[in-house]
Amino acid sequence: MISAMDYGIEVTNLSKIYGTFVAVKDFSFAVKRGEVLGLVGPNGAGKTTTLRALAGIHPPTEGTIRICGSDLRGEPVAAKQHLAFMPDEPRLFDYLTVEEHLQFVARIYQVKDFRSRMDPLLEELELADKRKALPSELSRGMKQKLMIACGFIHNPDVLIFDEPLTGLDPLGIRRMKQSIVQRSKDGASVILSSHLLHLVEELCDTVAIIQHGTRLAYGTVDELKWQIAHGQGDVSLEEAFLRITEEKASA
Amino acid sequence: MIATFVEFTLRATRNKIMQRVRRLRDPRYLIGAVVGLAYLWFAFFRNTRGFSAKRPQLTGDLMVDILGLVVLAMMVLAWALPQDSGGLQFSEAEIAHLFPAPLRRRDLLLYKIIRAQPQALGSAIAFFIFGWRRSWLIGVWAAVSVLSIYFIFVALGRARLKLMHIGFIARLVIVSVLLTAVANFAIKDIIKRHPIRKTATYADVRSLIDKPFRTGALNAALFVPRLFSGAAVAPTPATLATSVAGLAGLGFLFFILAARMNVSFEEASIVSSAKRAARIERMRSRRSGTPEISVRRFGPLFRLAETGPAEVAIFWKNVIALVRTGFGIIVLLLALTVLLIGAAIWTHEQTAYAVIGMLFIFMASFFPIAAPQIFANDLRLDLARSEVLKSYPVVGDRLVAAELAAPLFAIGALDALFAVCGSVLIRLGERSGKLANFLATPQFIVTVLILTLPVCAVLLLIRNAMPLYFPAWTIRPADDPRSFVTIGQRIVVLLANLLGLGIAMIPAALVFLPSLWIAWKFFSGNAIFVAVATFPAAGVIVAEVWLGIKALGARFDAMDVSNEFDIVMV
Repeated sequence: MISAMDYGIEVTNLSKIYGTFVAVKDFSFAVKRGEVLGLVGPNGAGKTTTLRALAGIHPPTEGTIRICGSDLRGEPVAAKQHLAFMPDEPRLFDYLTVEEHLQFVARIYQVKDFRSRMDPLLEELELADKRKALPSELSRGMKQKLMIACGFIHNPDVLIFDEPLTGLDPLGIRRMKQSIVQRSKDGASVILSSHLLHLVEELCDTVAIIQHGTRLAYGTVDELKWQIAHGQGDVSLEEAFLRITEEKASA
Repeated sequence: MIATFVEFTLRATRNKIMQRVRRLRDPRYLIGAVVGLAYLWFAFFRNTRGFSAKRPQLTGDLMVDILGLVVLAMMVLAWALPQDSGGLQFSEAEIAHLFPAPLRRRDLLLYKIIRAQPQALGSAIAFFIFGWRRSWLIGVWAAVSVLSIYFIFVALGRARLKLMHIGFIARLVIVSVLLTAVANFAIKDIIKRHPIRKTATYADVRSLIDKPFRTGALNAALFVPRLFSGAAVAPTPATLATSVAGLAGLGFLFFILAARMNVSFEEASIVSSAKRAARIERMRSRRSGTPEISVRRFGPLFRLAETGPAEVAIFWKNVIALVRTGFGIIVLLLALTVLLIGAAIWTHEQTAYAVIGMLFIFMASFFPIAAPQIFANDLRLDLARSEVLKSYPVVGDRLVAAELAAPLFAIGALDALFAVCGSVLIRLGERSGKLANFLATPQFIVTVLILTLPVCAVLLLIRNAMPLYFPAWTIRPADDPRSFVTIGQRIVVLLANLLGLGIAMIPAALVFLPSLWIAWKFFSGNAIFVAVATFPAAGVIVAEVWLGIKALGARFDAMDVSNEFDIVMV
């Protein structure tokens, strides 16, 4: 039997409305520890809104979000202590060096063995020789890596990635994928949004397809493919995604 | 091709104007526009129209001549500018669409000239309305347009000269020699033809200035520049018509010359445009709250322990930012302090001590008002990264308090330094009056130390409250250009800040006056006089700050970042 503590993320009836525009409507899902959930959808589907709500950046209009059992609205500090949010656009402090970024974030999350964690992390993300560099001296890909390093420094139980591979070179992409898989094997709940469906197919255990803020499909990758193929032959996740979104559009 | 470029320019201009007009439905833009226009009216328009009649004005031919002299200087000096790549400014979209298109270089030049016309017309309208009453709109427009074509011609001419191995230094020398020779010749010519007499009337002086323009070398040199100035400030419609016709021919000539140079300007234009885009980006990032880093390698002032209150990390981060971005201003203020103290000690006169001491007191009085704008290393600095801040496990009020701490201590320390220096110097100098005697006492220093931090905290709180409660007034979208609407918005924000400060100080003042009376009445000359007089008021301000931090923290927690910052990301 699965208890509430086995879930890193539990989202119930999440809705987010801007004025009269409904960005996300009645969206529910859960991510178990060690599970990777892929959030896919066309542009403007509500992916980033959902992820930002999960990270506590903006309050949902309705619904509840629990991070490792803590209600994000009622116990924000306890909930946020478990998570790391990596936006698609690296938001870095222009005046802090790479090392100072990690030092700052480590203190925010009370990381006791920060020094011993920093060096392997910088090596892992190929930032070791840039530790004294300011963000203005880093390329777009390196900024993205620094953002990810800041997310990894406190070994979070919940990882939220918005387009994690944007700006990374091929080696960086491979290492990033390995990092996500490794952290999920270590027990982290991972949710990522991406337009790269082959990446989602490769990394994710479950997939949620949303469009116009509404959930169209939710299940394991195999379940979605099976649902589309109706038990006959094999289809890719891309094919499944296109058919599901087109069916909805024509409905 | 001309028709296509004209149509494109007209459509782009119409869309831009419609966008600006539609934006006025938003109250913040409408109020900004009204206040901005009112400000410009009182700053420029009223002055040029209201007071012009009361003092003698340069009018008629003399104005044409003097303006012509300015145009002549611009036209000649343009050849001495260092840029010699021939790069012209194009937008990224223009480079992407026009450069690969099957267009000749002269077509690109033509596009550039046509595309510049709305801006030239805008400048002409602004000059006409706010600048010079006696100017002619069409004349100013023609002058600005042809001058811009001339500058394109000169930019390409400098590149052509470079190909002929005539570089910047050579051009600079040639222009300098030419200008010196012309000036020398003209001055000698003027003195020879118009000997200076001891005349004092306005008419005589005017005549003395006027005559040299009509004869000799200066008259000849001003032939072309007079077409520009004659069009802009023509004394008669006939002069206007002649000048505009002359300018039309001149513009055509400059365009043909520029096109015939056939300088390969595309690559240089890409580089030049990229530099301009980077410059604009830097300006925008400064405007959005990220000041330029002046000292890149200045290490943290204290070591951050691995564990402990998270708020200390925010303070640590802001201290680093303050040092790296505000190092120059801190050094400047400390150097000024040392310089003033040094000057007082060097003269060793009681008057100097008193004057410089009062100067320090003056600085201490006004520094807390100006400093929060200089040391903005607080929440304002991090607003662009608020989504990251909001994902941290720190509650809003603690985060706000931590954000304010670094500039508060910097401003408080510098202000206390000024006050102490002022008090000590006044004590060393001659004193007259009760105020000077009080300023020279240790009680004054204690009063300053007690009140400085709370008052600075109130000012910082108000500055930080504006972007949190009214972000639209303080944060503009990156693609929003500066205009009189922006000026108006800034004035409104400034007034709101002053109003906030006034309201915040009323309770403290109401408490301070009776406590001062009680201290004066019952504890005069006593050691606890200062404590009785100032602590209640300081307590009220501290309570206000505490409530303010709580309110701002709650606001930060509840703030919908994407919604508040006009960026609805879905």
